[in-house]
Amino acid sequence: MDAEVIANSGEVKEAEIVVSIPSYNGKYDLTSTVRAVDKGLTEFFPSKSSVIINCDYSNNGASRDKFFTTETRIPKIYVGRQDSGGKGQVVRSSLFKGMELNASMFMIVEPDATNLQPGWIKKFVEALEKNFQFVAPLYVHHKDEDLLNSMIIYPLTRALYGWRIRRPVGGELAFRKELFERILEKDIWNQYVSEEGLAVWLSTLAMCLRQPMCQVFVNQPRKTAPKEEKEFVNYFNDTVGTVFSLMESLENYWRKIKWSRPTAIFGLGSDDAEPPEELETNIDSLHERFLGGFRKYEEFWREVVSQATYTKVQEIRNLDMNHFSFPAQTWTTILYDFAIAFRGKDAEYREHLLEALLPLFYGKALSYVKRTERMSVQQAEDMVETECMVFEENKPYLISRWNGA
Amino acid sequence: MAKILVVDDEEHIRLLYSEELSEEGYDVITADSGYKLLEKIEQEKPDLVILDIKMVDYNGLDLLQDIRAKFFDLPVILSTAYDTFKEDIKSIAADYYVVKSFDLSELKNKIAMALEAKYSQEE
Repeated sequence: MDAEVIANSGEVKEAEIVVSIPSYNGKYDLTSTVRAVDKGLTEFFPSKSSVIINCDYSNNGASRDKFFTTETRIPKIYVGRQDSGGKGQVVRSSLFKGMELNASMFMIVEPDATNLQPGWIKKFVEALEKNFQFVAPLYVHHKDEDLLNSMIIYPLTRALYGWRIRRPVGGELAFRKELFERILEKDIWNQYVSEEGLAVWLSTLAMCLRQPMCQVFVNQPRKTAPKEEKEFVNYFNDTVGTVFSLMESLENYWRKIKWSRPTAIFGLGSDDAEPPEELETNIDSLHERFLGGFRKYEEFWREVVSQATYTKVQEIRNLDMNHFSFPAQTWTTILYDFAIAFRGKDAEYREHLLEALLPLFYGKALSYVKRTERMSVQQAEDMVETECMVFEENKPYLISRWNGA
Repeated sequence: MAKILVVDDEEHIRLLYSEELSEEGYDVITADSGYKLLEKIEQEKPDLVILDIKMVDYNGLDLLQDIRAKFFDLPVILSTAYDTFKEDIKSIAADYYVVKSFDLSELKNKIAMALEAKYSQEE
């Protein structure tokens, strides 16, 4: 076995609830996260047996020591991996550990949120207790936050698999054992999932299994430090790579899906929502990165997208900042064309393809930020929803080109 | 033939929807309030519900939450006089919404889409 497992002195043998917290090379201080999880489990689920698992994908000891020295009432287990793998790989190991403990409810808590509250644990686990098989989060968010999700992951997964899960990328997620067992039966795994793509992988497979799902409303923003550029590029490649690669594995499912369906919303209360923090987006930088893509990828784009789309991209290139706009129709066909180009290719080509998509994403993000500049969060959400409809309406284009590829 | 349950406390709306949707080939049943709605859904097993948001005794958005909790994949279309309800996050649990009108083309279009989505997932 290549995973090293160290149980705490509690010698945990069984647990109903498993909360898994990934970490990497001591990058995040887990102390406040572990305390919030501990408080959430002890305060709201005192009669249930629980365990907190730190799954560490570096195994240099930094995270493990911090984890075990944080005092908790809930027993803890450390799962570290010495092989390369990635976050997805080690989280999966922790979930297998949970299965060994015969857990019925699982929650993954990302360590990057600086304001995780015990109440979040309560909402997710309560939703599982109501027999929802999969629980995704709905955080209060700034309209410019997490544009990769709003511009690519949400519209694509929604149009492909037919469920309106607004944040298939997590951060926090929860699911029941039965669903996880059925996901494992699918036997779908790859390099993108084993790195940063695990949340999208779980969300996508949950959608395909048509089990009761809900989205938990967290009436607070999820506060995180902005990702550094290299970190964002890796995250972009892994999450988009996960969506594209799952399209191959799940072709027989998504091809028959038309339009999309909502899920139940759980955790709505009388508490007022806390407003998100201000976020300043550097539109000049987005514009430069978009234009920079032409120097490196212009010819490649011409090979990947249709002639009409390529012509449209050239038109967008010539728009000045005041009139900059990236239409939803063009963006949709670009993503569908890239997904088709991804299909059946080797790892090197795929890496290049994902790199080439990034400047176009910056262009689309710029267009969105400019267009929503004077909009409320609700109006910006309506715009995201309208653009999602364009993805759904254009699905026949994807299917037709997929069939011909 | 798809069965549609129309829940609205205004009689003329129930009549209008019943007539026009029956002409489209749907089997239409109605309810004049949210009273025992979940039981009615359990018994009648409709393929889709059209739900008025503002009824005298019931809040359609609260009823929507109850429906979703029990019948997670039953399509629900909200029917409303105004679209201000969209500020309430509960509304995203609806498949679609339509603003009430004597021209039912938008409603018919949304019904077709919601049913198509449901059936495509069941295949």
